[in-house]
Amino acid sequence: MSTTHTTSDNGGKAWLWMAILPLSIFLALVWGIGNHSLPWAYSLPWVPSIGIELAFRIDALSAQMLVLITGIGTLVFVYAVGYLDHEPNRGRIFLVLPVFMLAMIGAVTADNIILLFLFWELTSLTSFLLVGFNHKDADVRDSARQALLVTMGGGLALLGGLLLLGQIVDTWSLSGIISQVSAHTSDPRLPWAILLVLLGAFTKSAQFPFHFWLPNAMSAPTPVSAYLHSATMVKLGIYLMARLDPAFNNLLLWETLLIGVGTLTAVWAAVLTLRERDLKRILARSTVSALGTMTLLIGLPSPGSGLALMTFMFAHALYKAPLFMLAGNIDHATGTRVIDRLMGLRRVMPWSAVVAILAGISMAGLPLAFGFVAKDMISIAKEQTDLFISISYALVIVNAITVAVAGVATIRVFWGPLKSPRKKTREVSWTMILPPLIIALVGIEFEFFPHIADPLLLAAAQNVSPDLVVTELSASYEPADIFSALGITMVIGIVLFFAWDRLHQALSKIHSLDFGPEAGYRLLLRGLSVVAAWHTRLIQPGRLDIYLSLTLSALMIMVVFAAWHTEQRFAMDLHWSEHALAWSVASLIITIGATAAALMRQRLAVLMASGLLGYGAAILFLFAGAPDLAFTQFSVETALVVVAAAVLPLYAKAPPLEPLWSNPLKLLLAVSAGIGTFLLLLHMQGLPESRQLADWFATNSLPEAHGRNVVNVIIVDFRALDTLGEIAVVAFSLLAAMPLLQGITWQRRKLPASPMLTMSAKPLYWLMLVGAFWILLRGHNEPGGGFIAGLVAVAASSQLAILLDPSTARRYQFLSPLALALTGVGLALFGGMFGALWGPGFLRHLWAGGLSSVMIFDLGVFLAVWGALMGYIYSLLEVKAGATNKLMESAS
Amino acid sequence: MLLLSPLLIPLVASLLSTFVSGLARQAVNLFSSGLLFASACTLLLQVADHGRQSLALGAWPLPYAIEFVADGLSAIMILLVALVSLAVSIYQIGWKESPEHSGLYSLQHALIAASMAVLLAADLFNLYVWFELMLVALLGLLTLGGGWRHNEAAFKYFTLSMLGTLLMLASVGLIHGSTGQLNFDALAQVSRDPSLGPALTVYIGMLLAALLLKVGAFPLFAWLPASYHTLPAPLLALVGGLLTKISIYVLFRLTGQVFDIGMLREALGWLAVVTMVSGVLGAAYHWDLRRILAFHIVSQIGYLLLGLALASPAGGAATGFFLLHNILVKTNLFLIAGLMWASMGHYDLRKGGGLYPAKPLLAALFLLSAFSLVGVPPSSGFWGKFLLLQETFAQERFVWGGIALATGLLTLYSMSKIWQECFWKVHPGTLSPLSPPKTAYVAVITLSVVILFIGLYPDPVINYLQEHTTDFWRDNS
Amino acid sequence: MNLVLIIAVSLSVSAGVWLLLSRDNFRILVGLAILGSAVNLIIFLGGRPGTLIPPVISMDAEILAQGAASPLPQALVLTAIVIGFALLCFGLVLGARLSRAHGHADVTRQHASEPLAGSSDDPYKPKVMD
Repeated sequence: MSTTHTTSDNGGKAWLWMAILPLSIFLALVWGIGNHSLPWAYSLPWVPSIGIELAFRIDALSAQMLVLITGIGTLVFVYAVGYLDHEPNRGRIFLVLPVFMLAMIGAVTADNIILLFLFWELTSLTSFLLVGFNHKDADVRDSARQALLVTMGGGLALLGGLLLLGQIVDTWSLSGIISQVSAHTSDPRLPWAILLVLLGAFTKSAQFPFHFWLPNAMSAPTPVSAYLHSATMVKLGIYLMARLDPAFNNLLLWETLLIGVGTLTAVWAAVLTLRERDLKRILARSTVSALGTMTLLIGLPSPGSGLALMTFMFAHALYKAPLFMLAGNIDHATGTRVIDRLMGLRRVMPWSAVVAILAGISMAGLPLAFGFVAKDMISIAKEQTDLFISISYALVIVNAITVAVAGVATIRVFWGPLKSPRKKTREVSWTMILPPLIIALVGIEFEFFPHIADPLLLAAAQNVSPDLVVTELSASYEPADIFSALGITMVIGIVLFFAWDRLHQALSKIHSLDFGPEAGYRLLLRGLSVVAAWHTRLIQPGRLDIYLSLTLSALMIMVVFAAWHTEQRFAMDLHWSEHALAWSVASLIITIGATAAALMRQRLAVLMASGLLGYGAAILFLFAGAPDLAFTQFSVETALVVVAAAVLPLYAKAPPLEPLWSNPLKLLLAVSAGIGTFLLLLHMQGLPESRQLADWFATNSLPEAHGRNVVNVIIVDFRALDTLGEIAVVAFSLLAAMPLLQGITWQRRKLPASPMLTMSAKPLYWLMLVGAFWILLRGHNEPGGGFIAGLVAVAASSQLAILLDPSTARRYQFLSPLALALTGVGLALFGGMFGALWGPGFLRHLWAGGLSSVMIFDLGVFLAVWGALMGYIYSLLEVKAGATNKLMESAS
Repeated sequence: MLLLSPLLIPLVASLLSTFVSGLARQAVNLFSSGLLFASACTLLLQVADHGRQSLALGAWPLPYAIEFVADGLSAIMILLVALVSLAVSIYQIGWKESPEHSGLYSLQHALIAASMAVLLAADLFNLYVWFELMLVALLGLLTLGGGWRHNEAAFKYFTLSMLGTLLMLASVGLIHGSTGQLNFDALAQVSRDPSLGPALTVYIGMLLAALLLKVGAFPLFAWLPASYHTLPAPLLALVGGLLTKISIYVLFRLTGQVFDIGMLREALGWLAVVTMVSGVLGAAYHWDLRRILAFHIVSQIGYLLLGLALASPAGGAATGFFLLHNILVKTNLFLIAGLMWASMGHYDLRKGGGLYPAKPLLAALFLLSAFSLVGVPPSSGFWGKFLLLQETFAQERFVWGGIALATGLLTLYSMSKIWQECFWKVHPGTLSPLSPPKTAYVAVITLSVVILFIGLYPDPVINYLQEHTTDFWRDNS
Repeated sequence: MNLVLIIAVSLSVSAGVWLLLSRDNFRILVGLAILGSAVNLIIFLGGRPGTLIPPVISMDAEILAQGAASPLPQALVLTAIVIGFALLCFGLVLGARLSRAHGHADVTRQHASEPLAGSSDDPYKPKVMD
């Protein structure tokens, strides 16, 4: 939209210097073409490990595109200076526009298809930023995003297609692919590759059904529209198709798709032009139509189609760009682009009117302009091949509408009585007149002096259609030819021009035309939201029970799947050994504990039952030759039950228990888990036992590690790193729990303290502590060790805390629990360092006489367990008078 | 000793952090991150020059001792973890979102220490121990928030992760019970023994299932979007960028070198594409920036799993590259999200806006990382996706490749939504007058430069990975 | 008679899973504790227990007797017991705080960190959906 007129900012003219960039490239190009024959090639290695290099190749086709990009580019830059004169953020456009230009240059000169893809996507990206310039407006944002999604979506398809092509022909070189692909026409992947590449090209060049983004992209500032959406970016798809045409032209798929889609696009867009009232949108639709025609021309198998394409592409750029700029001028001068409110502007904008005439003539294909030459070439190309009659007629309609559009953009807006929404409509500044004037003049000039453009166009055409035989480009001026070329289309066109308004009204009433591909796009976006919502609400509803069910089910399915692929080895060990009775008792206790835990209604009972299960395991360990384990399990289970029982009153009331059969999934999961475990264990029984590790430990425990208790030796010597990690877990679990333990208010009922108990508390404490140390020291050779010692110390401190009070017990522990725990970890590290500094390695304990660093390590384990556990127990036993209960604070 | 420093440095720093306070704590944080980074660089150079490094803890003979191994893949992963850790440490200077809690740096470094140990571990039970330390550290970080939402998130994470670790422990026990081995090399030998190997598949499958839970694959990822978003920005960046990727590394190592899971590959591939789509749909649904990015973690995990399912050296190189790129980009995006929050005052897209005119640098940084995530060339993400797609197509897995491409489009949709709402749209209220600390920008810019560099000049990294993944999936190449 | 033990362990797993799927915070944690014990037993069973002889080298020997129990699974289980215990302690305290904050211990109603669909915090704009 136009900005308000404030005093012109002369500093903006400084941006004119930006035009030097495209100008210099243009001049270099022209000079180069004059002095060095095409093609030029240049390559630099970039990612040799996957065979991608910075390979560039400029042949005539590329050169023609480059002329358009840089030539029109220079003039667009100049125009932009004038157009954005009052725009405070214009710097953004001037920064992004050159990047875009470089990306375009890269795209048309790249000889490596991945490199081409790179630049292709870069143009989409810069276009996104440019279209969204007026991003405060929601419609502009939507249009920019639409362009982005459609072109980049096509880009992804393009990537897929290019990857396939590269793999089919086994090279990433574009010229290589073009020359070698004919050898692979029977490869089943080739049609898919072509399809995907074409999908990319169609989205970029706004072919049906991906055309809808282009008219909406008109929310970009006019210089952007003139540059990207008429002269350069949208032609990129055309370029790619033209480039690949020599390779695929003989394939039916290629021909059919191009001709079909091209025609459809041309007609559809042309008809829809009649429904627009905004001048820019009219021009945009007509651009889409022109792009359709170009696609059609590529698909035509005639030898002259290449020439027709090149001429038309050139002519189109030369008349469309000025027309867009004109639309911008009108917008600036009058504040609107709606053709209903504009008329007779030539009186106040004479220069613009001149430009309009010049460009309009070319667009209509009248004999004085390059557009005429283009039309001639197109008709020649059409004659050289058999076209469906319907296509021919359709093209006539398209041409006619083009003539009508030319008329609207020029005659209707500039002639007739003056009508403008703004009282003081003035001509715009020279920076906005000169560029379109120059471009339009070039369009005229080529008509009269075609030999300037001739060689380049012919050479380019030959790149596209290698069987071209024409040696010079000229339009025939025979009256008969002029008549046939002009006749029908002009007549129909003039009729349409005069009937524009009525046609517009008639077409607007056909509401079914509203449901085109753009509606499809919007439907897809909404569909995406709906699907995303349904999906996410289903699997991420926020409830832990659902998560657990889902996760457990999935895990079980995976395990079953893996089991399905396993060679089964079930075996059962049924012999009755001497300890079988003890084992059966232990198993019975475990079973009772498990069943009770599952079925009990009271939480405390559930807890006790789980404790019973643990005790059963401890009994088992005792009768299975694992005394250390038995004692540890016994103590840990007790401690766990004690802690849980202490914490239980803090829990809120339990939700009501559901009956056994209320949730079949739950039952199924539990039962399956049990059965699965059963089978997994049976399977393991069937596999041979390997004692390799155990035997080595057994043999080397005494000689190498000086310990008789092999389990302890494994823990502190052979696999000491496991232990280090383990005490780190223990210590850090306390650290992690600190925020939770603070602020728990717990009113403890003071036990009736008999003096005898109180008096014996401290001596008992010391006694137990000594016992703990003794267990620690003897652990290396007899059952004992750091863990068990730590648990005994925990018992000592706990009884002290219960019989007296926690703060006394804390005092008698010398350090705070957390400090103690972390010191323990540190000590273990320290103990391990002896071996690193003076021995073979970290965690290899050194022995000197009867002393060893293993003691330090085990002491660390002891302190870590003692400290961490007491940290929990103290907090749960303590009365924090006056401490704020942080539990009820509102969420952060 | 060099092999131990990635574990010992952060562990010592973690212990120290609890005993000092205030400025000294910051100093410890930065110093140890810097030292860690330096030692990671040294390790990488060592591995690049001399090949695979191995250390038997306690100098006991293998396979009886616990082994630490640094090969090409783990060395570069270690370097990246150190880099990210350093960036986050720098970012944290002056970050005021969460109250100074004594445990923050300690738990953070414990997390890093555990992660490093996982990367180095070559022993199955040892791996389990370090996974447990990671779990505890993350739990601590989650509860630091103090509010009931944080505790609830922590509880969900706790239960679901415990389920995973219990399954892992069970599988370790069963594998050990069947083979008698715990060392990776020894297990590799045993699992290829035709008389034993085929019978182990179910236990290996259990282990993989547990790891898939840790990794965040469909449908086991519920814990991730349930808990991550309660973390403050720097921690979220650390955790979101690293943890799942470290678990992917473990999967990489186990499926590529240790165990042979031939028949399970197909299932893994399909799981991968479903994960991709599921993650991106979740991202498309949400309007909270953190939750969107959390779901994107899941989606990207899908790509990594696809790479693993391809089970070839080329697939391995692709997965490795994608892994590195992903760690950098995800961490950076989370850090940028923090900066966005500091400027907009909100994580909710609907309540934010106006960042493009107000903070053009931030906009540029976001664009770089966002488009790298999508895979727009010439970004690091493009190369990752390219390598992956190339191998996918070479193995004629066109459906998988097509879904991967389509997911890229959906990712683009999601990123463009963030861009529209936070950068282009006008802010409904007023932008926060406070600007985020400069150090935060330093961290983000550093990572962005690395990302840009890898995008423009990926060859050394690709070369390195190709060289160091030839050893993976040897049976299938 | 390992079969009896295997049955007991399987039942424990069933019970643990059953409790894990409960609605009560506390029961979930007890379920995890039971599962932990069961898994420890699974590891222990890997060592094919069957003898009463502990893996302690007697005073008159240099190496462990042939029929002694396998020391490695015992060491692993010892480590696992302690780790599991530390985590369970943490979990119990966390569960307590959580249930107190919510005022109830029903996990089906604990979704403050992930608002349910349709609530005021719902990320999805309701008007588009049915």
